[in-house]
Amino acid sequence: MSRRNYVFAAVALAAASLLHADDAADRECTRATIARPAALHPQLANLAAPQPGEEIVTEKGVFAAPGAFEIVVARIGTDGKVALACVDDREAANRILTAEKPRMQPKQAQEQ
Amino acid sequence: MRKALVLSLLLLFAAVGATAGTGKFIIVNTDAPNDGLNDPTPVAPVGGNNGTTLGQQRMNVFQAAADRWATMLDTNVDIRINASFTSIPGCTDTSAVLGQAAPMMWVRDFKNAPLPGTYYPIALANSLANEDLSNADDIFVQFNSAVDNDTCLGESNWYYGLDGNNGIHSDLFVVVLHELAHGLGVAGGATAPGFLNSRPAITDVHTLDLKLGLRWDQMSSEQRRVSLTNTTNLVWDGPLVKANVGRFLQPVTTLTITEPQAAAKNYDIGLAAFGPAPNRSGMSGRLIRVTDESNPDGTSTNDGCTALTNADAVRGNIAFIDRGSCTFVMKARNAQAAGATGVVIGDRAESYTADNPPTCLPPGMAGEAADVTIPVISVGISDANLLKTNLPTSNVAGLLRNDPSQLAGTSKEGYMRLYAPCTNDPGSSLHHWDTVATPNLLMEPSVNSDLLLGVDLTIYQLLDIGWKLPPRTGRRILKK
Repeated sequence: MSRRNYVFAAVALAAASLLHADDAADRECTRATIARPAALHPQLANLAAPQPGEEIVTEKGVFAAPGAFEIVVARIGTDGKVALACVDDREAANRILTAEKPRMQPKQAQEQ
Repeated sequence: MRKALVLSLLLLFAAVGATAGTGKFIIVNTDAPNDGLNDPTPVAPVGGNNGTTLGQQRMNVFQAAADRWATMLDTNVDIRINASFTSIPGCTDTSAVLGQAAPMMWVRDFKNAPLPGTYYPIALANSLANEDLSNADDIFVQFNSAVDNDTCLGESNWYYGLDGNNGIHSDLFVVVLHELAHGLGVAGGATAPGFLNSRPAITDVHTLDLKLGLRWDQMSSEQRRVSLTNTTNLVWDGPLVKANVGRFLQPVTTLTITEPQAAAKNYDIGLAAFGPAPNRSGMSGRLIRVTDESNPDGTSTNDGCTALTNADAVRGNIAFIDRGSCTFVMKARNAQAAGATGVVIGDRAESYTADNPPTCLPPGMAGEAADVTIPVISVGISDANLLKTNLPTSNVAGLLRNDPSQLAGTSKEGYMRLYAPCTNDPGSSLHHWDTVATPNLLMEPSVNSDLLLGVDLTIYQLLDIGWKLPPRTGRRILKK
């Protein structure tokens, strides 16, 4: 197998190991504790996950598989309309999909 | 304008599959026979999409979105989009994953790489190197055909038209356009604030924290962790986006506090669905914090949920009211009854839950109230706390105005704001524009289908990271 094809194969088969940040930001506005769901939403469990791995060094450059995918999720709101949101990782997507009343659109108005 | 865009898209779709260079956007259909992009189910043409099967219509949308980007990017290397549209099990009648996208690979230190030690998305790296560095697909996109099932998202399905008339359905063209932008490089190598293999992506080189005065590639991981929630101060410093914000954004409507000095600045405001439009209201004067009785209708003595007990002080001035306990309409009515000339609602952390964490941006206010004739605006939690700190001891005065020197979505320095909600919500921000941008932009986190401006600032963001415009046609395309 040529070196280039090896790069692609190695990247595609690299073990998953996403980087997660601790959420302990210290902000002036009081930070709400985000409850972490015990289980992944079924759709996310069935969704292809990024599988980053070690860098592969070749004569063409240094390659790496992506560590994050941009995920688009949808919820039907209390107004019966579909709202879409794009998030930068699976944890954020899971939070929206499993929340009882997620904030889908920051511009969406509330009554109180 | 939407029809003109559709017509131009159709012409481009018919005539162009290529970028201005020799490179083409190629949709690599990875679906099985009779599935997803190959679904043979007969369908009627819709909204300018003339496909006669479900699979054809899906492919047509993919190609139309790819062609849109192809006309605006100059490359001599094909851009291969690994695409699937299969059913992803597990969606419900109220929630679903619609799809996902990413560069297939990130690569650094390749031939002609502008910055050493910095990851570029493979499609861009190929273009800069002027050769296919990997001989593999470049962009990964996966979409969920289960959305078209009756059990998924209720009656809402995918809309396959190209005319924006999606109604209750999800506009696939807009979503694909948005996701392809991520695949072309509006993305990070890892979940923020992390770096892929401890090295920055090219987008991190243009992510600037105005408070720290540092870019993300200059920060430690701990600094980035804090910076990720630096609402209003995390911006894109790319010169082309900065130079072109004025082509797409409106002047910001802002609450300008003029005194005391400790509180004097422009405040982001949230708008109400009732009352007169703030930018035409001429609201100005002194802010007075309301007091009312604590009772079951509102336990706080500053929530304005019952008749104001300091009506004499409020009369002729702007009422400052805490959020919470009752509707915004109720608060506005009580303030109006007391003779207030306007209302500023101060957001509070207590108004949020784990499911609905604060963003630190001012809330939008829903409600119907034809009887409310005074302007009603809101300010975010931090700004509300700043005002409340000064209200007891100082004369707090200000006015509502359109500030021509600042645009809705930019910092006062003119940088485009990135979405950085103050709740540390890892991965849900950063590679999108701040939602205060007005009008709506393609790369906001809420994938809005009411886009009037096409790919708007996104093309400039792609140019900032290294993509090139077609030498002759590009400038014509960018003109409004």
